[in-house]
Amino acid sequence: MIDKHPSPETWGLDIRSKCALLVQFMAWTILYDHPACHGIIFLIIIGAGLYAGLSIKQMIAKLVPLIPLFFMIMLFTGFNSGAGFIHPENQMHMLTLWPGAVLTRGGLMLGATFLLRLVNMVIVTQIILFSTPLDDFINLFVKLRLPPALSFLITTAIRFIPALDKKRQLILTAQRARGVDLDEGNVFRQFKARGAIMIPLMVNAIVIADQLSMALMNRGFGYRKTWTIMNRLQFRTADYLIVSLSLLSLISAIVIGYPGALGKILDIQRLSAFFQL
Amino acid sequence: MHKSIALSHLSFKYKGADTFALTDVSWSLNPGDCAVIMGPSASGKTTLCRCLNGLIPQAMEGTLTGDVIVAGKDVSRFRTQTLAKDIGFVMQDPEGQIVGRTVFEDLAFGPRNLLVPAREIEQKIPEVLSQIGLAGYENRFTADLSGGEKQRLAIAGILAMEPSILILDEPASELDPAGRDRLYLHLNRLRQSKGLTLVIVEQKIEGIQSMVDQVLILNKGRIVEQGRPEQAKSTWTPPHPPASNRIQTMNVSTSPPPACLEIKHLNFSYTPKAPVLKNINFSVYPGDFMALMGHNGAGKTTLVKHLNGLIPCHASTILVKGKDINTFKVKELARSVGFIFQNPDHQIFENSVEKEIAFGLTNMGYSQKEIVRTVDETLERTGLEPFRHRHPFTLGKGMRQMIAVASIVASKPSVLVVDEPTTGLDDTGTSLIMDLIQKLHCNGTTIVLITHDLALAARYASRLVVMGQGEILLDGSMEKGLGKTDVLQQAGLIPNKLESFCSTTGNAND
Repeated sequence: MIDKHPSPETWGLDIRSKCALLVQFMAWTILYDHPACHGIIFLIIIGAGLYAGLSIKQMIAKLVPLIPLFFMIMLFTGFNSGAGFIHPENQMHMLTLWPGAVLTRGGLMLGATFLLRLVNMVIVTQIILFSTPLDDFINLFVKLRLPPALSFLITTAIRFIPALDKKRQLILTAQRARGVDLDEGNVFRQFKARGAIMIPLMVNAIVIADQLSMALMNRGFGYRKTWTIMNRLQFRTADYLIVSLSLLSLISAIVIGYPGALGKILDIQRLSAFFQL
Repeated sequence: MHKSIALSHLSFKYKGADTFALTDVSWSLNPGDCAVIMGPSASGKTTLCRCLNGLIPQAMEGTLTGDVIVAGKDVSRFRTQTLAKDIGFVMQDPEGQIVGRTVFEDLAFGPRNLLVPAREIEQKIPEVLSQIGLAGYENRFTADLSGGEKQRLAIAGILAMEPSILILDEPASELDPAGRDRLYLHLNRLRQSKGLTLVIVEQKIEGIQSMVDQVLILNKGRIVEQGRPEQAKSTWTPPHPPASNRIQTMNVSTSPPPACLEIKHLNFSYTPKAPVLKNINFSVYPGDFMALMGHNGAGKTTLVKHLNGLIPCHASTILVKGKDINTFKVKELARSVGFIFQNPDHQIFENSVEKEIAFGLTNMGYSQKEIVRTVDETLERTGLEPFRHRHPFTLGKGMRQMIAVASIVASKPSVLVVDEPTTGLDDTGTSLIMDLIQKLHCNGTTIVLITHDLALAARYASRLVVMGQGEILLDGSMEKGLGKTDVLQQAGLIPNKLESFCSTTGNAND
């Protein structure tokens, strides 16, 4: 089932503006390793989520199933990243379990970066799906003249996420009924308990994917390369502003990441180094 | 005469399957006629529907032989999307078919794909909604609709595309009896007014005989019977055995022992202005076999979600064996109150029946010795011993539901809440499950059965609790409850059918 969306009046950005926001966010996410950078992005994303009408509780709910994964990311990255940092202090050993298993400051920070990257991606996806009707996506695909097969694939994927989330809730209910408590015991026990959710979820995911693609075919999706446009994609003042800011942000991300000759002129080497580990 | 559907020697085998899902099926249907396809689980009903609109072989791989001509088109030569202009297919699960966030968006989706002009779509949608009994729903969020409304919306979504042939796979499986009657009333009106050809997969023909021109009974992929409904009825066994075969329920003593579940003044609402449960009061006593019934959206599921702590409640509102439910941990509660849900696939995850049953016990901290003993005992008790080492997903849905029941009853909960356990099951699957539940009851487990099927409830339960609009409308013995026709009608349980049921089978607990 589709999640409830806010009305266009409350979140009226054009889908192209949202794509521009997403692209500049991806650039910052990919180009920099410092957790502070990702922390700032995280705060901006949380703010955007609240503005879009999501509650903190709703955003956290999507992250809870990933907690064991977060733990493992921190653990493995922390103990497996001893070299390759441009700042010498990041190579400092904080804890040695045995030779070769050394927790470094840089490793810990890199772990936090990976974790925040994942968190940011999950929340951004949630915000986009929450605030954008399927119609807008399809209108965009038509406008971009995407091949019908690709458009079909992306549309199925977009519908798949809320359908799978609904199924996750049903599975969680069924497993709780036989005593599976995801919050009890140590992390390993909690991780094992999540297997009871993940395996039925994977089995059901295959069924849902099948059903969705058949349902779209039954509704004539892909009958022609285009479809009836009921509400044209329209750029408003806010969209022009967002796209301009996104472009500026994207250029900044690239310039700070790869200052080259510009670095000397603008004196941004120190800033560039700050965003690296 | 030009046929709406003409099948000639149709056979189909899914890729990787050992046996044919359909074998040598030849059948035809005239325009404007209504056909009902019946048969046990895995008899090929859904496969046949998929062949009719080209999903087979386009979306599902396999070997297809024979001719399928629908609406004058050879379905193998056209894409499903192209055929969708003439052939509408409503699948079983409405959830997976709703694509819009509002009812309007959802209904517009099909016609937009078919390039119907926007103005025409805007005019058409209110008309379709009114045809299906959802007039005025245009701006409602699809997420807010009840199960029955979603099912009707899924049908409306196809009707908006104006097909000449409508195929419906168990369209009323999740509807209460009154909802089912309303749905078929609307479909029959459409058939009469627009000459729509209907192909309906159903488990029961009761109540819709008058609109049916042809019944097709499938078994193991072959047509075993076809003809007028009155002819076919002779070879079709009803979903439940006649009254003489009814199993005796446990005697309920005149002075009830202390309640094992007590609900006192339970109120609940998801949004402040729309209360879902209003001052619910009732107790469940050891030995009860209680049927909890009511129309779609009556609040049954919300009520039972309180009983396993999924929805928290105020202190002392729900007592389990005299103790406040809030003081129980998830595991402790699962030991006292077991829950069996509609879909067994939501909980099965181990790779053998034996391990699946052991999982809950391990989770509850049983010792290895206890687990081995209890698993053996449960396999024996539930008749699953021959399947001990089988992978659950290689078994049919009826058997998977049995495994779900077994994995819950292994921890010997004193109360077992069973939510619509027979949905989507054929008569064999239904009997398997209900006989097992009956057996557990005879061995001392208290049962709370949630169902829309009054005949099923009357056959097994000794107590009837009826809910309507979030309130308890009736709580009493099944014998007396069956006489309250006004209440049963209010709850959408079709009392006129019950009267005929009672008059032909006698009282449920005699």
